[in-house]
Amino acid sequence: MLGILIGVTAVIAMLAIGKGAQKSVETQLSSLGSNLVMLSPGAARRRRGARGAQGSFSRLAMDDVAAIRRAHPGVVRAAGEVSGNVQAVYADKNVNTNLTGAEPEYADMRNAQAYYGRFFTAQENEDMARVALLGPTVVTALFGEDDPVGRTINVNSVKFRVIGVLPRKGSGGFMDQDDRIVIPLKTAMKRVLGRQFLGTVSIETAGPEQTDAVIESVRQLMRKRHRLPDYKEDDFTLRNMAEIQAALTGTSKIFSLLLGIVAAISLIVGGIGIMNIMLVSVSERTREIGLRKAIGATRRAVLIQFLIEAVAMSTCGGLIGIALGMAIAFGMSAFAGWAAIVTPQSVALAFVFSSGTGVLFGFWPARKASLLSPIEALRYE
Amino acid sequence: MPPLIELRGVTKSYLVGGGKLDVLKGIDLTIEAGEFVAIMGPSGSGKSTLTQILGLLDRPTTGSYRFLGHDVTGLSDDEGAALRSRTIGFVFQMFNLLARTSAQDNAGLPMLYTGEPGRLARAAEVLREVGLGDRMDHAPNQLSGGQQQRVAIARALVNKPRLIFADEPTGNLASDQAEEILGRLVNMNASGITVVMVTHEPDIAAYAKRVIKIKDGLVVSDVLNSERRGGGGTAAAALAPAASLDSLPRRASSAARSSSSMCAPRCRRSARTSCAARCRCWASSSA
Ligand SMILES: Nc1ncnc2c1ncn2[C@@H]1O[C@H](COP(=O)(O)OP(=O)(O)OP(=O)(O)O)[C@@H](O)[C@H]1O
Ligand SMILES: [Mg+2]
Repeated sequence: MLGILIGVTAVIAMLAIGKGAQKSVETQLSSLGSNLVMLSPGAARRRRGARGAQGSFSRLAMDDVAAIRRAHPGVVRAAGEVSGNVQAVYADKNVNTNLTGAEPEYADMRNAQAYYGRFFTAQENEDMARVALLGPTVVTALFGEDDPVGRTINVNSVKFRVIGVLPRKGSGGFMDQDDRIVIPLKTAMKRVLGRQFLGTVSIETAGPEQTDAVIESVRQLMRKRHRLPDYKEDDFTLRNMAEIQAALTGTSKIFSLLLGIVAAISLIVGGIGIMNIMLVSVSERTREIGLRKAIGATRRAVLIQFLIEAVAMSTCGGLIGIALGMAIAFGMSAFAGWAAIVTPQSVALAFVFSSGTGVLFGFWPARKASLLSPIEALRYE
Repeated sequence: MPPLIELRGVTKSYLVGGGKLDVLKGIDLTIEAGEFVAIMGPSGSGKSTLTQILGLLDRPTTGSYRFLGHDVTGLSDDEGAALRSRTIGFVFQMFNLLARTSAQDNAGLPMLYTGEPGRLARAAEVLREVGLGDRMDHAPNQLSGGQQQRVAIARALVNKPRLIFADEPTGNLASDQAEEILGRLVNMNASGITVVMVTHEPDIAAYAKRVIKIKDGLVVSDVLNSERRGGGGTAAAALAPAASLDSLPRRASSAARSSSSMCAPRCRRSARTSCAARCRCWASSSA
């Protein structure tokens, strides 16, 4: 029973975490468009070391973006981005949040069209307009239930007019994708963050089959623009997001699989426990079985009686396990910030598993009981 | 109409420690419907073994058994169970009630296996018949031994059997409770149910119409209990059993006198003090 309980708890928790991980991967994926390549400054491998050692400056500027747009016919569009932490204030409320300065292409490339209101235009970007789109988390923090569009907020002491709300992406595991403000790139660089260079450049390719060629052309282009001699490594990193997506999905699958194995093992252990209890019960109740058979119980009737008892026991453990598993899943998402989602399907699955274990492991003891001869059983002391 | 039970050359052997133990060594026996048979014999003589075979709980090693004219030696376990549940009731020495289960559920248990409707109502009915109408919800540990055995009798009656086997039904009871139980068996027999009872004690066997003695696996005597007047129980006894039994000791002496002629032979034989009371019972109930 304890084993069943643990097993079912594991099943529920496993499915919740698996589902949560899957969801967070999906969230991250949905915040990336398809066929996206990300270019960021700094070498891939020794990024930290290189920076720390010599403050190596590999910089991405707006004219790099313009050059990348022409680098290869497979490039559909490219856009620069900066980001930083800012404080946003409205009336007496303030929040620390993430600011992204983006070009208008961002909306399409990152699936971030305004859910409500509108995105900013290229002209507003050129004009360094002080307009902002807020993520749902920021909206709730600053405005509660009120309509934010048309209001004015302060971002790092710069006034911004809210023109839209970003679509809800969900909290993807470690980071709340909805806790952000998006403003025009130029406004962010000049007026808020005071940066001259870009944080990342997103490049969208025409299709997956083009991606490798695009990456190679962009790499050559950037090496040339940064005047890197042949013996030097790249001072920038190009990442194919499709590969990252695949890796993330794979990781969450492995994670689910491991938890699944834990669950399976504990269900087996629990099943053996049930079998043991049932065997003890059958021998303790030998006289009862003998009596039942003497007064007309068929083998089938005795078999079914004991099977039902085994299933009742395992289902009982299962129900407690479901409750416990849900509590754990809830606790994990509440306190550890892990995404854990309990679906009705996973509860149903756990239920079926636990009663299935009861049937499977209760069968042998039940059969043993059903085959007892009534006189032997009545004679039994 | 074929006899209820017909045994021909029935033997039963057990394999014990490599050797063969012959418990029954060739029993021929016919029991007609409506009889009240007592099976007697020393301990280990095979009484219980014989009853188990008669009760379709066990199969003979050799020989034939015809139950209501049908050969039942080849019945499967489940066919045997089905036949038992509809035609045979059992009363055991150890009561064998389910613990932590109400008298009503205990009495109704056999109906679970015939699947007949109205289980609880029927269980209540038979419990009232055995005088436990006010003990329906009591678990066995809340009942006296005699009451428990009455629940067991109710359970044996619940499916309206043709035949009841009672293996030392009074073996675990004090003598007053034993009499009560025997009275029930007599009444059941009077209402048309065949009763086969195993006992050690002659004064208990005296309630039966026919006494079969076995020894070392063979029938050594089979006599009609002619002294047991008019077959003991009548309809009157069946209808008013508990009251007359309960009030029996007080009225015993006067009644015994009035019926002494009828009871005399058996009283002489078993020479027990309770005999007079019992004679009195039959006398009054058949009067
Ligand atoms: N399953 C068995 N295996 C081996 N021997 C058995 C088995 N059942 C009964 N016996 C033997 O058969 C013999 C008869 O047993 P049975 O129970 O029929 O006696 P009984 O006449 O009812 O005795 P008692 O009056 O003590 O109840 C005994 O010697 C017993 O040891
Ligand atoms: Mg015996």
